[in-house]
Amino acid sequence: MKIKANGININYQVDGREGAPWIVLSNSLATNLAMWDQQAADLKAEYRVLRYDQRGHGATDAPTGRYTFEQLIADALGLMDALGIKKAHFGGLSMGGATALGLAQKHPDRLDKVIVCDSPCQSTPTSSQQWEERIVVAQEKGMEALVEPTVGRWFPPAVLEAKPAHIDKVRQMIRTTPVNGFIGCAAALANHDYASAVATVKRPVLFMAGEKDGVTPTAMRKLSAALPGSRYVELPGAGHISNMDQPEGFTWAIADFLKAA
Amino acid sequence: MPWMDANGISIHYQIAGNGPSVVLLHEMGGTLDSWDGIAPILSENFRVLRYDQRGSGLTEKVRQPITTEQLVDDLAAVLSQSALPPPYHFVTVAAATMQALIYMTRHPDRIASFTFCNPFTGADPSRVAALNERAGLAEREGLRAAIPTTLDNSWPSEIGDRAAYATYRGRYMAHDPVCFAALNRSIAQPNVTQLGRDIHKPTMVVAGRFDKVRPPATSEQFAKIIPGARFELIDAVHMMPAQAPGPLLALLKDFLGAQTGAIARQ
Repeated sequence: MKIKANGININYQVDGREGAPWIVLSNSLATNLAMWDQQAADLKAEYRVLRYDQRGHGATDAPTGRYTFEQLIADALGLMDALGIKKAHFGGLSMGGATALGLAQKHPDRLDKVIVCDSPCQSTPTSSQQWEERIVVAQEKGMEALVEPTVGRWFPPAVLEAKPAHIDKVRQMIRTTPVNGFIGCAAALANHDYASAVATVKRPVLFMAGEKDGVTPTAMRKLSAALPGSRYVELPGAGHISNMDQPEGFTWAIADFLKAA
Repeated sequence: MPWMDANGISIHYQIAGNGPSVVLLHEMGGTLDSWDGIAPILSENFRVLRYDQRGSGLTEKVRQPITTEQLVDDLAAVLSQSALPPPYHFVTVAAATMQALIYMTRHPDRIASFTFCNPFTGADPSRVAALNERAGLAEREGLRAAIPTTLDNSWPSEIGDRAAYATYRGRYMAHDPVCFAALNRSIAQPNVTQLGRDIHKPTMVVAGRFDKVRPPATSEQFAKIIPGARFELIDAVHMMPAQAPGPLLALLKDFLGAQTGAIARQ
Protein backbone atom coordinates (compact mmCIF):
# COMPACT_ATOMS: atom_id res chain seq x y z
CA MET A 1 0.00 0.00 0.00
CA LYS A 2 1.14 3.51 -0.69
CA ILE A 3 0.43 6.77 1.00
CA LYS A 4 1.62 10.33 0.42
CA ALA A 5 3.88 11.56 3.19
CA ASN A 6 6.61 14.20 3.34
CA GLY A 7 6.11 14.89 -0.36
CA ILE A 8 6.66 11.36 -1.66
CA ASN A 9 4.67 8.15 -2.02
CA ILE A 10 5.73 5.76 0.71
CA ASN A 11 5.10 2.05 0.38
CA TYR A 12 4.15 0.35 3.63
CA GLN A 13 2.57 -2.74 5.08
CA VAL A 14 0.63 -3.24 8.30
CA ASP A 15 0.27 -6.55 10.10
CA GLY A 16 -1.46 -7.35 13.37
CA ARG A 17 -4.77 -6.43 14.88
CA GLU A 18 -6.17 -2.95 15.23
CA GLY A 19 -5.79 -1.48 18.68
CA ALA A 20 -2.58 -3.35 19.51
CA PRO A 21 0.46 -1.18 20.31
CA TRP A 22 2.24 0.04 17.20
CA ILE A 23 5.77 -0.94 16.32
CA VAL A 24 7.35 0.66 13.25
CA LEU A 25 10.24 -1.09 11.51
CA SER A 26 12.62 0.79 9.25
CA ASN A 27 14.86 -0.97 6.72
CA SER A 28 18.57 -0.78 5.96
CA LEU A 29 20.25 0.52 2.83
CA ALA A 30 19.63 -1.56 -0.30
CA THR A 31 16.91 -3.68 1.30
CA ASN A 32 13.20 -3.06 1.73
CA LEU A 33 10.33 -3.85 4.05
CA ALA A 34 10.59 -7.54 3.15
CA MET A 35 13.69 -7.72 5.35
CA TRP A 36 11.25 -7.75 8.28
CA ASP A 37 9.08 -10.64 7.06
CA GLN A 38 10.02 -12.91 9.96
CA GLN A 39 9.77 -10.20 12.62
CA ALA A 40 6.36 -9.11 11.31
CA ALA A 41 5.16 -12.70 11.42
CA ASP A 42 6.45 -13.15 14.97
CA LEU A 43 5.35 -9.81 16.42
CA LYS A 44 1.95 -9.40 14.81
CA ALA A 45 0.20 -11.50 17.45
CA GLU A 46 0.86 -8.84 20.06
CA TYR A 47 1.68 -5.71 18.10
CA ARG A 48 0.41 -3.77 15.14
CA VAL A 49 3.47 -3.89 12.94
CA LEU A 50 4.06 -1.09 10.45
CA ARG A 51 6.97 -1.49 8.11
CA TYR A 52 7.79 0.68 5.17
CA ASP A 53 10.27 1.09 2.35
CA GLN A 54 12.66 3.89 3.17
CA ARG A 55 12.94 6.75 0.66
CA GLY A 56 14.47 5.47 -2.56
CA HIS A 57 13.92 1.82 -1.63
CA GLY A 58 11.44 -0.90 -2.55
CA ALA A 59 8.29 0.62 -3.98
CA THR A 60 8.66 4.01 -2.27
CA ASP A 61 9.45 6.96 -4.55
CA ALA A 62 13.11 7.41 -5.38
CA PRO A 63 13.76 11.06 -6.16
CA THR A 64 17.15 11.99 -7.57
CA GLY A 65 19.75 13.72 -5.49
CA ARG A 66 21.49 13.27 -2.17
CA TYR A 67 19.16 12.59 0.74
CA THR A 68 19.71 13.53 4.36
CA PHE A 69 18.76 11.82 7.61
CA GLU A 70 16.57 14.82 8.36
CA GLN A 71 14.54 13.70 5.35
CA LEU A 72 14.49 10.06 6.39
CA ILE A 73 13.28 11.09 9.83
CA ALA A 74 10.65 13.39 8.34
CA ASP A 75 9.51 10.50 6.11
CA ALA A 76 8.97 8.24 9.11
CA LEU A 77 7.17 10.96 11.01
CA GLY A 78 5.10 11.86 7.95
CA LEU A 79 4.10 8.24 7.53
CA MET A 80 3.05 8.01 11.17
CA ASP A 81 1.02 11.20 10.75
CA ALA A 82 -0.61 10.00 7.56
CA LEU A 83 -1.65 6.76 9.25
CA GLY A 84 -2.83 8.51 12.39
CA ILE A 85 -0.20 6.96 14.66
CA LYS A 86 0.39 9.21 17.62
CA LYS A 87 2.95 7.07 19.37
CA ALA A 88 4.84 3.90 18.46
CA HIS A 89 7.75 1.71 19.34
CA PHE A 90 10.27 2.34 16.60
CA GLY A 91 12.98 -0.02 15.43
CA GLY A 92 15.41 -0.02 12.59
CA LEU A 93 18.51 -1.73 11.30
CA SER A 94 21.64 0.02 10.03
CA MET A 95 20.26 3.05 8.15
CA GLY A 96 16.92 2.30 9.81
CA GLY A 97 18.67 2.12 13.19
CA ALA A 98 20.15 5.58 12.76
CA THR A 99 16.69 6.74 11.66
CA ALA A 100 15.29 5.35 14.91
CA LEU A 101 17.92 7.01 17.10
CA GLY A 102 17.54 10.28 15.20
CA LEU A 103 13.78 10.17 15.73
CA ALA A 104 14.32 9.49 19.42
CA GLN A 105 16.47 12.60 19.66
CA LYS A 106 14.30 14.91 17.57
CA HIS A 107 10.77 13.66 18.31
CA PRO A 108 10.80 11.77 21.61
CA ASP A 109 7.12 12.58 22.18
CA ARG A 110 6.17 10.37 19.23
CA LEU A 111 8.11 7.32 20.33
CA ASP A 112 7.68 4.77 23.05
CA LYS A 113 10.60 2.32 23.05
CA VAL A 114 13.41 2.51 20.55
CA ILE A 115 15.34 -0.35 18.92
CA VAL A 116 18.60 0.48 17.19
CA CYS A 117 20.29 -2.38 15.34
CA ASP A 118 23.61 -2.77 13.59
CA SER A 119 24.38 0.91 13.32
CA PRO A 120 27.14 2.95 14.94
CA CYS A 121 24.78 5.88 14.22
CA GLN A 122 27.52 8.09 12.89
CA SER A 123 29.69 8.39 9.82
CA THR A 124 33.46 8.58 10.04
CA PRO A 125 35.90 10.05 7.49
CA THR A 126 36.62 6.50 6.35
CA SER A 127 32.99 5.42 6.07
CA SER A 128 32.08 8.65 4.26
CA GLN A 129 34.77 7.98 1.71
CA GLN A 130 33.56 4.39 1.25
CA TRP A 131 30.02 5.60 0.64
CA GLU A 132 31.24 8.07 -1.98
CA GLU A 133 33.14 5.25 -3.69
CA ARG A 134 30.06 3.03 -3.69
CA ILE A 135 27.97 5.89 -5.08
CA VAL A 136 30.37 6.05 -8.02
CA VAL A 137 30.08 2.28 -8.57
CA ALA A 138 26.27 2.50 -8.52
CA GLN A 139 26.30 5.43 -10.96
CA GLU A 140 28.72 3.80 -13.39
CA LYS A 141 27.86 0.10 -13.16
CA GLY A 142 24.46 -0.11 -11.54
CA MET A 143 23.36 -2.12 -8.52
CA GLU A 144 24.43 -5.48 -9.93
CA ALA A 145 28.07 -4.51 -9.39
CA LEU A 146 27.35 -3.92 -5.71
CA VAL A 147 25.57 -7.21 -5.01
CA GLU A 148 28.47 -9.56 -4.25
CA PRO A 149 30.76 -7.03 -2.54
CA THR A 150 27.85 -6.05 -0.31
CA VAL A 151 26.87 -9.63 0.48
CA GLY A 152 30.50 -10.39 1.28
CA ARG A 153 30.62 -7.48 3.68
CA TRP A 154 27.29 -8.11 5.39
CA PHE A 155 27.38 -11.83 6.03
CA PRO A 156 29.97 -13.69 8.10
CA PRO A 157 31.85 -16.46 6.28
CA ALA A 158 30.13 -19.14 8.36
CA VAL A 159 26.70 -17.84 7.34
CA LEU A 160 27.70 -17.62 3.67
CA GLU A 161 29.04 -21.17 3.78
CA ALA A 162 25.77 -22.49 5.18
CA LYS A 163 23.94 -20.90 2.22
CA PRO A 164 20.71 -20.07 4.06
CA ALA A 165 17.78 -18.95 1.90
CA HIS A 166 17.91 -15.38 3.17
CA ILE A 167 21.16 -14.61 1.35
CA ASP A 168 19.51 -14.88 -2.04
CA LYS A 169 16.61 -12.84 -0.76
CA VAL A 170 19.07 -10.12 0.25
CA ARG A 171 20.88 -10.36 -3.11
CA GLN A 172 17.55 -9.77 -4.81
CA MET A 173 16.75 -6.80 -2.59
CA ILE A 174 20.12 -5.19 -3.34
CA ARG A 175 19.78 -5.88 -7.06
CA THR A 176 16.31 -4.32 -7.24
CA THR A 177 17.09 -1.20 -5.20
CA PRO A 178 16.69 1.88 -7.41
CA VAL A 179 20.09 3.41 -8.19
CA ASN A 180 18.70 6.84 -7.30
CA GLY A 181 17.57 5.57 -3.95
CA PHE A 182 20.88 3.90 -3.20
CA ILE A 183 22.80 7.03 -4.09
CA GLY A 184 20.47 9.27 -2.14
CA CYS A 185 20.61 7.16 1.03
CA ALA A 186 24.34 6.41 0.73
CA ALA A 187 24.87 10.17 0.69
CA ALA A 188 22.81 10.44 3.89
CA LEU A 189 24.90 7.69 5.48
CA ALA A 190 28.08 9.51 4.47
CA ASN A 191 27.06 12.43 6.66
CA HIS A 192 25.21 11.66 9.86
CA ASP A 193 25.77 11.64 13.58
CA TYR A 194 23.26 10.61 16.20
CA ALA A 195 25.94 9.04 18.38
CA SER A 196 27.41 12.23 19.84
CA ALA A 197 24.16 13.23 21.50
CA VAL A 198 23.04 9.71 22.42
CA ALA A 199 23.04 10.59 26.12
CA THR A 200 20.22 13.10 25.52
CA VAL A 201 17.78 10.35 24.49
CA LYS A 202 14.88 10.14 26.91
CA ARG A 203 13.26 6.96 25.62
CA PRO A 204 14.21 3.39 26.60
CA VAL A 205 16.63 2.09 23.97
CA LEU A 206 17.67 -1.40 22.95
CA PHE A 207 20.95 -1.46 21.05
CA MET A 208 21.51 -4.70 19.21
CA ALA A 209 24.27 -5.88 16.91
CA GLY A 210 25.38 -9.03 15.19
CA GLU A 211 28.51 -10.37 16.86
CA LYS A 212 30.24 -10.59 13.47
CA ASP A 213 29.16 -7.18 12.21
CA GLY A 214 32.69 -5.78 11.99
CA VAL A 215 33.37 -2.97 14.43
CA THR A 216 29.67 -2.25 14.95
CA PRO A 217 29.35 -4.25 18.20
CA THR A 218 32.17 -2.23 19.75
CA ALA A 219 30.60 1.04 18.65
CA MET A 220 27.16 0.03 19.87
CA ARG A 221 28.43 -1.19 23.21
CA LYS A 222 29.83 2.33 23.63
CA LEU A 223 26.50 3.87 22.62
CA SER A 224 24.77 1.79 25.24
CA ALA A 225 27.36 2.64 27.88
CA ALA A 226 26.80 6.32 27.13
CA LEU A 227 23.05 6.03 27.66
CA PRO A 228 22.27 4.83 31.19
CA GLY A 229 19.30 2.51 31.35
CA SER A 230 19.68 1.35 27.76
CA ARG A 231 20.16 -2.31 26.95
CA TYR A 232 22.80 -3.87 24.70
CA VAL A 233 22.29 -7.24 23.08
CA GLU A 234 24.76 -9.04 20.87
CA LEU A 235 23.55 -11.76 18.53
CA PRO A 236 26.04 -14.63 18.45
CA GLY A 237 27.19 -15.57 14.97
CA ALA A 238 25.10 -12.92 13.23
CA GLY A 239 26.51 -10.37 10.77
CA HIS A 240 25.22 -7.00 9.65
CA ILE A 241 21.73 -8.13 8.74
CA SER A 242 21.38 -9.62 12.19
CA ASN A 243 17.60 -9.95 12.06
CA MET A 244 17.86 -12.36 9.16
CA ASP A 245 20.97 -14.22 10.36
CA GLN A 246 19.48 -14.88 13.81
CA PRO A 247 15.74 -14.23 13.47
CA GLU A 248 14.69 -16.12 16.60
CA GLY A 249 17.12 -14.42 18.92
CA PHE A 250 16.51 -11.06 17.28
CA THR A 251 12.75 -11.20 17.63
CA TRP A 252 12.97 -12.55 21.15
CA ALA A 253 15.32 -9.74 22.20
CA ILE A 254 12.79 -7.21 20.88
CA ALA A 255 9.82 -8.94 22.50
CA ASP A 256 11.64 -9.15 25.83
CA PHE A 257 12.71 -5.50 25.63
CA LEU A 258 9.22 -4.28 24.78
CA LYS A 259 7.75 -6.21 27.70
CA ALA A 260 10.36 -5.10 30.23
CA ALA A 261 9.17 -2.65 32.85
CA MET B 1 31.82 -11.23 22.64
CA PRO B 2 32.46 -13.34 25.73
CA TRP B 3 31.62 -10.59 28.23
CA MET B 4 28.50 -8.56 28.73
CA ASP B 5 27.63 -5.87 31.22
CA ALA B 6 24.49 -7.14 32.89
CA ASN B 7 22.80 -6.28 36.17
CA GLY B 8 25.63 -3.92 36.96
CA ILE B 9 28.58 -6.28 36.55
CA SER B 10 30.70 -7.70 33.76
CA ILE B 11 29.66 -11.27 33.06
CA HIS B 12 31.74 -13.80 31.14
CA TYR B 13 29.60 -16.10 29.04
CA GLN B 14 29.54 -18.40 26.07
CA ILE B 15 26.80 -19.28 23.61
CA ALA B 16 27.23 -22.05 21.08
CA GLY B 17 25.12 -24.11 18.74
CA ASN B 18 21.67 -23.86 17.26
CA GLY B 19 18.43 -25.44 18.35
CA PRO B 20 16.24 -25.32 21.46
CA SER B 21 17.68 -23.13 24.21
CA VAL B 22 19.64 -24.80 27.01
CA VAL B 23 20.91 -22.86 30.02
CA LEU B 24 23.70 -24.39 32.10
CA LEU B 25 24.12 -23.07 35.66
CA HIS B 26 27.30 -24.14 37.39
CA GLU B 27 27.77 -25.07 41.04
CA MET B 28 29.17 -22.84 43.73
CA GLY B 29 32.94 -23.06 43.43
CA GLY B 30 32.61 -23.87 39.75
CA THR B 31 32.85 -21.81 36.59
CA LEU B 32 31.44 -22.14 33.11
CA ASP B 33 34.34 -24.49 32.48
CA SER B 34 32.61 -26.99 34.76
CA TRP B 35 30.55 -27.76 31.65
CA ASP B 36 33.49 -28.41 29.33
CA GLY B 37 32.57 -32.06 29.01
CA ILE B 38 28.91 -31.29 28.37
CA ALA B 39 28.43 -28.02 26.49
CA PRO B 40 30.37 -28.71 23.28
CA ILE B 41 28.43 -31.91 22.60
CA LEU B 42 25.04 -30.52 23.62
CA SER B 43 25.63 -27.58 21.32
CA GLU B 44 25.54 -29.94 18.35
CA ASN B 45 21.77 -30.06 18.84
CA PHE B 46 20.96 -27.13 21.10
CA ARG B 47 21.74 -23.47 21.56
CA VAL B 48 23.70 -23.65 24.77
CA LEU B 49 24.35 -20.76 27.13
CA ARG B 50 26.75 -20.98 30.03
CA TYR B 51 28.30 -18.21 32.08
CA ASP B 52 30.49 -17.53 35.07
CA GLN B 53 28.27 -16.49 37.93
CA ARG B 54 28.86 -13.36 39.96
CA GLY B 55 32.23 -13.53 41.65
CA SER B 56 33.32 -16.68 39.78
CA GLY B 57 35.61 -17.43 36.86
CA LEU B 58 36.18 -14.45 34.61
CA THR B 59 33.07 -12.62 35.74
CA GLU B 60 33.48 -9.49 37.81
CA LYS B 61 34.57 -9.86 41.41
CA VAL B 62 32.57 -7.85 43.86
CA ARG B 63 33.12 -6.67 47.42
CA GLN B 64 29.49 -6.60 48.49
CA PRO B 65 27.51 -9.48 49.96
CA ILE B 66 25.91 -11.73 47.33
CA THR B 67 22.31 -12.90 47.62
CA THR B 68 20.48 -15.68 45.84
CA GLU B 69 17.96 -13.12 44.54
CA GLN B 70 20.81 -11.14 43.07
CA LEU B 71 22.10 -14.25 41.31
CA VAL B 72 18.60 -14.67 39.86
CA ASP B 73 18.66 -11.04 38.71
CA ASP B 74 21.98 -11.81 37.04
CA LEU B 75 20.45 -14.83 35.34
CA ALA B 76 17.45 -12.81 34.13
CA ALA B 77 19.71 -10.08 32.78
CA VAL B 78 21.98 -12.55 31.03
CA LEU B 79 19.00 -14.25 29.42
CA SER B 80 17.56 -10.91 28.29
CA GLN B 81 20.82 -9.68 26.88
CA SER B 82 22.01 -12.85 25.20
CA ALA B 83 19.10 -12.97 22.74
CA LEU B 84 18.47 -16.55 23.79
CA PRO B 85 14.86 -17.34 22.92
CA PRO B 86 12.70 -19.05 25.55
CA PRO B 87 11.54 -21.51 26.61
CA TYR B 88 14.66 -22.68 28.41
CA HIS B 89 15.87 -26.12 29.31
CA PHE B 90 17.68 -25.44 32.56
CA VAL B 91 20.44 -27.73 33.75
CA THR B 92 21.62 -26.81 37.22
CA VAL B 93 24.12 -28.12 39.70
CA ALA B 94 23.64 -27.95 43.46
CA ALA B 95 22.88 -24.43 44.74
CA ALA B 96 22.23 -23.06 41.24
CA THR B 97 18.99 -25.03 41.45
CA MET B 98 17.66 -22.27 43.69
CA GLN B 99 18.23 -19.70 40.95
CA ALA B 100 16.32 -21.72 38.38
CA LEU B 101 13.41 -22.31 40.76
CA ILE B 102 13.12 -18.64 41.65
CA TYR B 103 13.37 -17.70 37.99
CA MET B 104 10.45 -20.08 37.41
CA THR B 105 8.31 -18.09 39.84
CA ARG B 106 9.03 -14.92 37.85
CA HIS B 107 8.62 -16.39 34.38
CA PRO B 108 6.75 -19.68 34.50
CA ASP B 109 6.05 -19.37 30.76
CA ARG B 110 9.74 -19.39 29.91
CA ILE B 111 10.53 -22.84 31.29
CA ALA B 112 10.82 -25.85 28.99
CA SER B 113 12.34 -28.36 31.41
CA PHE B 114 14.61 -28.77 34.40
CA THR B 115 17.51 -31.06 35.04
CA PHE B 116 18.74 -30.74 38.61
CA CYS B 117 22.09 -32.31 39.37
CA ASN B 118 22.58 -32.92 43.10
CA PRO B 119 20.07 -30.18 43.79
CA PHE B 120 20.55 -27.89 46.75
CA THR B 121 17.36 -25.98 47.45
CA GLY B 122 17.92 -24.52 50.88
CA ALA B 123 20.30 -24.78 53.80
CA ASP B 124 19.36 -26.77 56.84
CA PRO B 125 19.35 -24.16 59.65
CA SER B 126 21.88 -26.30 61.51
CA ARG B 127 24.29 -25.97 58.57
CA VAL B 128 24.27 -22.17 58.35
CA ALA B 129 26.92 -21.78 61.03
CA ALA B 130 29.23 -24.12 59.11
CA LEU B 131 28.69 -22.15 55.90
CA ASN B 132 29.56 -18.92 57.68
CA GLU B 133 32.56 -20.52 59.29
CA ARG B 134 34.11 -21.72 56.05
CA ALA B 135 33.26 -18.39 54.43
CA GLY B 136 35.19 -16.62 57.17
CA LEU B 137 38.06 -19.05 56.84
CA ALA B 138 38.36 -18.47 53.09
CA GLU B 139 38.19 -14.74 53.61
CA ARG B 140 40.85 -14.66 56.30
CA GLU B 141 43.24 -17.30 55.08
CA GLY B 142 42.43 -17.91 51.44
CA LEU B 143 41.01 -20.79 49.45
CA ARG B 144 43.74 -23.23 50.40
CA ALA B 145 42.68 -23.08 54.02
CA ALA B 146 39.06 -23.70 53.08
CA ILE B 147 39.71 -26.76 50.93
CA PRO B 148 39.44 -29.33 53.77
CA THR B 149 35.90 -28.15 54.56
CA THR B 150 34.82 -27.57 50.98
CA LEU B 151 36.36 -29.31 47.97
CA ASP B 152 37.68 -32.26 49.98
CA ASN B 153 34.03 -33.06 50.79
CA SER B 154 32.45 -32.23 47.48
CA TRP B 155 35.08 -33.97 45.37
CA PRO B 156 37.32 -36.32 47.36
CA SER B 157 40.56 -36.46 45.42
CA GLU B 158 40.62 -40.25 45.24
CA ILE B 159 37.44 -40.37 43.16
CA GLY B 160 37.40 -40.12 39.40
CA ASP B 161 39.87 -39.05 36.77
CA ARG B 162 43.15 -37.59 38.09
CA ALA B 163 43.54 -34.99 35.38
CA ALA B 164 39.93 -33.85 35.65
CA TYR B 165 40.34 -33.47 39.40
CA ALA B 166 43.59 -31.54 39.06
CA THR B 167 42.02 -29.16 36.55
CA TYR B 168 38.99 -28.66 38.71
CA ARG B 169 41.04 -28.07 41.84
CA GLY B 170 43.18 -25.56 39.99
CA ARG B 171 40.19 -23.52 38.95
CA TYR B 172 38.63 -23.88 42.40
CA MET B 173 41.74 -22.53 44.09
CA ALA B 174 41.76 -19.57 41.71
CA HIS B 175 38.52 -18.24 43.15
CA ASP B 176 38.62 -14.85 44.76
CA PRO B 177 38.37 -15.70 48.49
CA VAL B 178 36.07 -12.77 49.24
CA CYS B 179 33.62 -13.74 46.52
CA PHE B 180 33.91 -17.39 47.45
CA ALA B 181 32.95 -16.41 50.99
CA ALA B 182 30.09 -14.23 49.78
CA LEU B 183 28.76 -17.11 47.67
CA ASN B 184 28.95 -19.50 50.61
CA ARG B 185 26.94 -17.07 52.70
CA SER B 186 24.44 -16.48 49.89
CA ILE B 187 23.18 -20.04 49.81
CA ALA B 188 22.01 -19.86 53.42
CA GLN B 189 18.90 -18.07 52.14
CA PRO B 190 16.21 -18.67 51.03
CA ASN B 191 14.84 -22.18 51.26
CA VAL B 192 12.95 -22.87 48.06
CA THR B 193 12.50 -26.62 48.42
CA GLN B 194 8.72 -26.34 48.38
CA LEU B 195 8.80 -24.68 44.95
CA GLY B 196 9.47 -28.16 43.67
CA ARG B 197 5.75 -28.86 44.10
CA ASP B 198 4.94 -26.02 41.69
CA ILE B 199 6.96 -27.40 38.80
CA HIS B 200 4.72 -28.28 35.89
CA LYS B 201 7.41 -29.00 33.31
CA PRO B 202 9.38 -32.16 32.59
CA THR B 203 11.99 -32.52 35.29
CA MET B 204 14.87 -34.88 35.87
CA VAL B 205 16.77 -35.07 39.13
CA VAL B 206 20.20 -36.65 38.88
CA ALA B 207 21.93 -37.73 42.05
CA GLY B 208 25.58 -38.61 42.44
CA ARG B 209 26.22 -41.87 44.25
CA PHE B 210 29.37 -40.46 45.86
CA ASP B 211 27.96 -37.08 46.78
CA LYS B 212 28.56 -36.56 50.49
CA VAL B 213 27.30 -32.96 50.43
CA ARG B 214 23.89 -33.77 48.96
CA PRO B 215 23.45 -37.47 49.52
CA PRO B 216 21.36 -39.32 46.90
CA ALA B 217 18.58 -39.87 49.42
CA THR B 218 18.15 -36.11 49.78
CA SER B 219 18.00 -35.62 46.03
CA GLU B 220 15.53 -38.46 45.70
CA GLN B 221 13.37 -36.93 48.40
CA PHE B 222 13.32 -33.67 46.46
CA ALA B 223 12.48 -35.50 43.23
CA LYS B 224 9.48 -37.05 44.95
CA ILE B 225 7.81 -33.71 45.62
CA ILE B 226 8.11 -32.67 41.95
CA PRO B 227 5.08 -33.87 39.99
CA GLY B 228 6.15 -36.54 37.51
CA ALA B 229 9.88 -36.04 38.01
CA ARG B 230 12.32 -38.63 36.76
CA PHE B 231 15.02 -39.67 39.20
CA GLU B 232 18.42 -41.00 38.15
CA LEU B 233 21.42 -42.13 40.16
CA ILE B 234 24.86 -42.13 38.56
CA ASP B 235 28.41 -42.64 39.76
CA ALA B 236 29.36 -39.06 40.50
CA VAL B 237 30.53 -36.73 43.21
CA HIS B 238 28.89 -33.41 44.07
CA MET B 239 30.57 -31.57 41.18
CA MET B 240 28.76 -33.79 38.72
CA PRO B 241 29.28 -32.17 35.29
CA ALA B 242 33.01 -31.78 35.82
CA GLN B 243 33.58 -35.18 37.38
CA ALA B 244 31.11 -37.38 35.50
CA PRO B 245 30.36 -35.63 32.20
CA GLY B 246 29.89 -38.89 30.28
CA PRO B 247 27.05 -40.42 32.32
CA LEU B 248 25.38 -37.04 32.79
CA LEU B 249 25.58 -36.29 29.08
CA ALA B 250 23.97 -39.62 28.25
CA LEU B 251 21.06 -38.78 30.54
CA LEU B 252 20.76 -35.27 29.15
CA LYS B 253 20.70 -36.51 25.58
CA ASP B 254 17.95 -38.93 26.44
CA PHE B 255 15.92 -36.50 28.55
CA LEU B 256 16.29 -33.39 26.41
CA GLY B 257 16.00 -35.41 23.23
CA ALA B 258 12.67 -36.76 24.42
CA GLN B 259 11.42 -33.23 25.21
CA THR B 260 12.53 -31.60 22.01
CA GLY B 261 13.03 -34.22 19.32
CA ALA B 262 16.31 -32.39 18.71
CA ILE B 263 18.29 -35.59 19.11
CA ALA B 264 17.40 -38.84 17.44
CA ARG B 265 16.83 -41.17 20.37
CA GLN B 266 19.10 -44.17 20.41
